Amino acid sequence: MATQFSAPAHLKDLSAEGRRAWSEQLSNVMDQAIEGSGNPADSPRPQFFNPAKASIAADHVEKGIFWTASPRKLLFVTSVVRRRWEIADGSRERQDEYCEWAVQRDEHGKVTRVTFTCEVPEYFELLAKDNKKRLLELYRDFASPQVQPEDLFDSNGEYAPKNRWNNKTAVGPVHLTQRNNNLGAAIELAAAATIIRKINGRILTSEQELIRCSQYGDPDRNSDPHIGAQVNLLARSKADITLADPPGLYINDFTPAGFKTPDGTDARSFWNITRGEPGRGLRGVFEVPSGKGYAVGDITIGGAHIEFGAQVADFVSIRLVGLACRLGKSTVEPKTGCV
Amino acid sequence: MSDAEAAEELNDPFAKLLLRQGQFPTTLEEIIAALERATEESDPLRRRMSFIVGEGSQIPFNEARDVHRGLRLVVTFGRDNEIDVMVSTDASGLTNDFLQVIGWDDQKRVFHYYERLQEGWIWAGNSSHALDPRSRGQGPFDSHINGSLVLKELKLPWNHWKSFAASMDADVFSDGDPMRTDPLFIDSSGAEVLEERVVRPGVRRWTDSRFDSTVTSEEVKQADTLLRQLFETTTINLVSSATESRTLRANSKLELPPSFFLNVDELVNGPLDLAGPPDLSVSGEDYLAVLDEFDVALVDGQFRQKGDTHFAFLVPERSVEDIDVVRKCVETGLLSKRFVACALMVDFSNPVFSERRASLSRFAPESFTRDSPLEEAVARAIVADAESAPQGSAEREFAELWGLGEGWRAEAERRLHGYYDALSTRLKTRDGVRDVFRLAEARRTKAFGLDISERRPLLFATSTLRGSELFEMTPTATIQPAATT
Repeated sequence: MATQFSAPAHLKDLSAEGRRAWSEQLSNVMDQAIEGSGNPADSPRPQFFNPAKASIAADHVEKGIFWTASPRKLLFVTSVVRRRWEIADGSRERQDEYCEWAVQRDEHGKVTRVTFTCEVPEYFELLAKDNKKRLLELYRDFASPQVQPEDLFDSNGEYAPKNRWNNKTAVGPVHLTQRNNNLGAAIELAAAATIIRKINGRILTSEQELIRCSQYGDPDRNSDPHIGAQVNLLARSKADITLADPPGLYINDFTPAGFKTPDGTDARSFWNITRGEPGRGLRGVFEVPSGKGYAVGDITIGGAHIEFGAQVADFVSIRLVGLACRLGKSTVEPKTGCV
Repeated sequence: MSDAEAAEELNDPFAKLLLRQGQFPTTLEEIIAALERATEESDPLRRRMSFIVGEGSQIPFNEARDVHRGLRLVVTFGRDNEIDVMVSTDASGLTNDFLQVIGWDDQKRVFHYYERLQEGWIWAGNSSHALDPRSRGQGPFDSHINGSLVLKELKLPWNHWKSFAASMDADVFSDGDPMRTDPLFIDSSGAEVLEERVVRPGVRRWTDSRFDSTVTSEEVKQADTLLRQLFETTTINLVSSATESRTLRANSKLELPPSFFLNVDELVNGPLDLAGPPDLSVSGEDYLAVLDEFDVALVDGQFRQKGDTHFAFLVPERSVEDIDVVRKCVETGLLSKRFVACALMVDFSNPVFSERRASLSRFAPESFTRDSPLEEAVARAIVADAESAPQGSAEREFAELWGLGEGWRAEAERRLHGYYDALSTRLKTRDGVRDVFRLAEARRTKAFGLDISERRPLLFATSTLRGSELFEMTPTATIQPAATT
């Protein structure tokens, strides 16, 4: 039985028509991902399927794929950890692991709140067409009560994802904006990763070999190589693959290991998922409740005070859920060349 | 051990809930079942995670049937950041050929170490025994040198472990191996979780406990065991580049781990906050040529796979256990940043296995009454000796920097910058890369000789240089045979 795609974490912002449009949009993205670029080394991708058009078999299994929100690429920029944190906190473009954050500080510069999002821009683009009132409400809630409708649209009346309320690391964030942080990219990656590669008689299995051969993302990120390798692992079980419904990028967990609070309170209690549903967090906030008498900046991690949001990002993990079915039944042959 | 003695001595959950109740599980599955029976559903001990490691974990079983992959399973029980029970066993076939348990005792605030032998379970000691000269290096403390939890490959990309940097395929097990479909493997977590939630918090837990029991406002007991971890390489961790060896090409570059060149975790990223190193990459062409030149391969018996470990350039680095003790010394005011810097800047271009720096341990008192600062007493003794010590000695090096008072930082940075400049130049040359590889092989040889390596054949790649004498890096980024004291 064919499926209609749900909104991320079953959000209720969209009208019934909007929800249909969302499903149709995802269905189109999936179709394009199945078709591929046309390059015969990378197209089509017959082990990837669109559950809006093909059924999910009863033997289906879901597989969570996890990675850390902290941008790995900065490891290659500097070995000075503090500098990495500064860079990551300095620009949303650097936050490229399908998770972005903003840091609020008090008048002395002490960190008071770190807010993470993994909401995809495509959803907000559609919401801007479907329900402008709700869009504004969300912006006023997530960024500032001062947001005006005209702030969110360009001169052509098109929604501007990187508007002034969603392009900084000190306000919001409202949703993902980094150029590779979107659901379309994740779907394309997952589809491309279903191609099994047999090069010089050997099946490729490792993260970096696969991504370098299939060219489905950035090999220096935490996310792309791992998503690709895990999807490819499913594909090698001769299964058909898609993303589990509702397709999306989710906050998997926050594990404040080594966090020490001034009064001994478990730092986990300062973490709240403020949007999404259980198991599918879209927005996480790390903030000490007022009345405690201290702020996030008074908490230490392994002895060092929290001065950057990136320090907290090290302990946030993100998740994408793949789905495999018709296990052992695929007859697709591996490709013997790279892209 | 009598029941009364056991009740006094062993209060970790494994002993309290199982052994002391007359339950002696013989397999991992029995431990899991017994702990479930002994706990309520809401008990943190019901929270279980599994992890998997193997030096041959990237070699499919059918490609090489006789390789010792060393596949091991680690299962933890407890709250996220305070794991109370950790079980290690062999993963292939889940045969339980070895079965080891570590349990945290909240009363004594130590880890207890247990092992199942043919005759049954034995208690091999607790963390404090690792520091006792009578049992140091014995039994489990041959690898848990300082009594802490150990994860050798502690940092990204966690070479040999399943992690988000490296998946592990079921075909590493033989066709009929039950592990292929066992949830302990299928649902296992990555080493990033083991690092973050289990091992680093576990190391800190024991360090904090040690300080609480030995450092008071009047006295520092076992001061020598603390300072030993500043001056010496009591144990090691392993770190590598983040590049899979198979993907390295002549036209790409290989980022070498900075902690190979200096103690970046303490001098730069720790409390000292000194200037960091520049880009420490080498060209793929040079590195591949050096691998060829020294015939580098993974070798186990008849098995031979040309090239480096799964992630290239796996080398020993300063251990997190030593680093954590120094962190705590600074945090509690036992040592100043100046003292730590003066110690760590001795032979700073050799962050591990420096005999010169280690020689300063002889100035550490066994215990110390805190009517004056500990570091003043130690520094005074070193400086006094420096007068008659030869040029280039550790004492002289320490004394020179110590004598600058608060000027230590500027001088340390001047030395580091000189080293960084020299490194930048040397790493661009084939000779420089060859020297770096030679030094790495010498350090690997030394590390392989330590019990923590367990002499696992695929731990490191081997080469024609294996077994060579120990080299040292000079502040001008050249190598020379290591000085011995």
